[in-house]
Amino acid sequence: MLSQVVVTGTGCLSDYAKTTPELVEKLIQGEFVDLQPVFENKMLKSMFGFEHDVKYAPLQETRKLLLKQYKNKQIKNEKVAALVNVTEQVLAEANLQQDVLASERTRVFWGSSGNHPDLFSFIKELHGNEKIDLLLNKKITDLHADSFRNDTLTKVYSDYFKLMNPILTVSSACSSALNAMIPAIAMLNSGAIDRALVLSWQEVSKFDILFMSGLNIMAKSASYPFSKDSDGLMPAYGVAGVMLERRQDVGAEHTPKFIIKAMSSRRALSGSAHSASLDVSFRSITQSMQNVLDKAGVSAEEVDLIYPHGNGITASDQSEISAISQLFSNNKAQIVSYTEQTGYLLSASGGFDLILAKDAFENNRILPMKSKGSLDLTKDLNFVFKESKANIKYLLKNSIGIDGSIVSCLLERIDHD
Amino acid sequence: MISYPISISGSGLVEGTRQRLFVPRLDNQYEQVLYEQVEKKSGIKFWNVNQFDKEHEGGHLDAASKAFEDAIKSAGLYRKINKKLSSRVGVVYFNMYGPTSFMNKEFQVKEMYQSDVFPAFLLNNHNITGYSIRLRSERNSLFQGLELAKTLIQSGELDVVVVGGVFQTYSYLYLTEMLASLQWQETTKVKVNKSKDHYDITESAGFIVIESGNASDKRQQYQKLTIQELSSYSMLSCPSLLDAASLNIQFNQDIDHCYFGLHGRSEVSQVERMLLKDMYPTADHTDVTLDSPDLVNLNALNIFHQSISNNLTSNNLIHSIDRDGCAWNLTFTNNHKN
Repeated sequence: MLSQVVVTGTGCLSDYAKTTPELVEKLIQGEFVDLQPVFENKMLKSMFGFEHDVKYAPLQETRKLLLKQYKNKQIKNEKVAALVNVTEQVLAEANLQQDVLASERTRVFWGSSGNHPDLFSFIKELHGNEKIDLLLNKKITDLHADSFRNDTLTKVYSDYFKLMNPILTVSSACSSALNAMIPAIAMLNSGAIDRALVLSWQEVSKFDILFMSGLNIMAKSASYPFSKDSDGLMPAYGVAGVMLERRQDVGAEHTPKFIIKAMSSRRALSGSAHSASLDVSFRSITQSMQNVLDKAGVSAEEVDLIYPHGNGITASDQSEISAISQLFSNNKAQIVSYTEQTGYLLSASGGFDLILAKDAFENNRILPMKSKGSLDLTKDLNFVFKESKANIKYLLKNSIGIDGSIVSCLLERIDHD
Repeated sequence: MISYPISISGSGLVEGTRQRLFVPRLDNQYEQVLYEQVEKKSGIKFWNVNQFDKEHEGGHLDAASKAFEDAIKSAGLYRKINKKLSSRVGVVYFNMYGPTSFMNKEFQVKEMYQSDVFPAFLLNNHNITGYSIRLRSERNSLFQGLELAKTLIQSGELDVVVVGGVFQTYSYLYLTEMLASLQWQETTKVKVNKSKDHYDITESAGFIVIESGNASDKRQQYQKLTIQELSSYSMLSCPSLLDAASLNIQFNQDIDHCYFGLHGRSEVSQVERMLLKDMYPTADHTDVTLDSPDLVNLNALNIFHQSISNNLTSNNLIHSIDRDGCAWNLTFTNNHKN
């Protein structure tokens, strides 16, 4: 008999919102994230062959502020400062003290592509042949192995929270958040641990921008998921955290409103030797959703709310919406996607949606979405544009990674009567 | 939750064969400064680097493809992953430094994509659709990968997990890595010894096939190695390597063979040897990087690969420690088929 796993605490950080309450409030107000140009320097822009002003939400100012805030706690790394901040939010919401993380019965999981170097430092190195450059150019130290090793970050985080177990960092591109929850839930179910903190995050470095541009998925003008007007994605640096515990272990101060009923993770195969998820077929997405419903013993007709992945890449959005249309053709399920408002949160996107799912179950409401696009890919599906009361029984969340990974997660309301 | 032994039923390993002596480029001050700093601290003058040979192994992705196929063949799964089994097989993949492929200066987006995200062609070539993931960890990657595989199998998520990855040599990285390791040695109170003037390092790609005993029995496939115990230890409260809990633990079973030295530094290996000899005086003790090149994150995989071709039936212990703040112990039995 598998245990029922519940979410007892959440936390988040992005340019859109610095906390969970702020995230909810901004969505209620219908706000959109402020995006900024990747290249303020025209020379750099043309050097990388960019004709358009690509935009992103890199969390620059907040990271600097957090670094100042945590410097007296001996954290000298911006990425770790952001992760510690979100961890503190999660612990506060879960009514847990910091020392629970130092327990042997707690594990921390990161759903993330991990530590990245700064591509510009490497380019500088190629041209920095003078010894004086090494002395004057501090950024050249970014070429150090520590800037590539993920252990550099996990070590600082582990030391800060005195973790007894290693952090497990798994990456499956933009489905990393949900894919990190699968081993976490497996360990909770096995009784190996009592608590799992799942942090999902991805920095948007210049390396990522170049990489995504090379694949032609960065938006040149607009990113409107599920709209033909969209020509790509607009990435945002986000950190999302959730604390997972077994329902029977949760104290009386918590009355969890939902359980993670089932999860399904699969890979889409491609006909080509080198696949990318740009060609993930609607069939693979349909199979993933059907698989999670089968695992849970729930029919498509019973699902009340769907959080699609929706990233703004037309091919991917078209596949997903076709899959949803096919599987939920006789269904009243409502659909809501906040990606356009928050920015595309990459590895953390599934984590942010899980936070909003908690709000939906706890407050019996669906926060409305806004879009500047026409949503013309969505046919007759029930997208939610006005805040509505809803007694959600089942909520389905999809995540799709550029590596061909598809994760579907089904949440079920707990009936406390 | 099912609890049964986890077995290794196949392995594949491809090592680079293009031998070269690393010499810092004259036009690159950074490389020269790094080389000089490492030499000054460690005494290493000669870096013997074995890289993938384009004519033999191809690039690192070709080597990964070959090693993966060898592992699948060795486990008796080649062309046998049918529609029914496809979603029950997954892959845990790792590389040492994440998106390092741009260091080859060619800025090939496909290479960057394959290295940084996931080499999806491995799945396409073998009809694998189960939970597959890239792991971000360094020298201890294989141990984390095995723990993940064990969790996935025992929870019923998967029946078979292929675990492995790639190590590529980039001068900036192995030089700065060595500098950081020497610094770590000082913090763990292991004195740096300048007795060795050369260092052998080899590019490699390797995979092992993990499955439950139940699954391999069903396939009537012989389980070559059985993993008995896998434990991680925090080094947080250890002021010195001598106090490491992982080196001061007695297992319930007799140990015939102890493997250590996965970190690559001989002074660290000496501490491991000394403490493991105290614990297991009658066992054979092997420093895996003493007379063999450092395969970095694939050293442990090399032990499994060698053990599979070994004719002995024995109980073995692998100890690994890295500057990530963790140490690992793994015990396994070599089930030689008579």
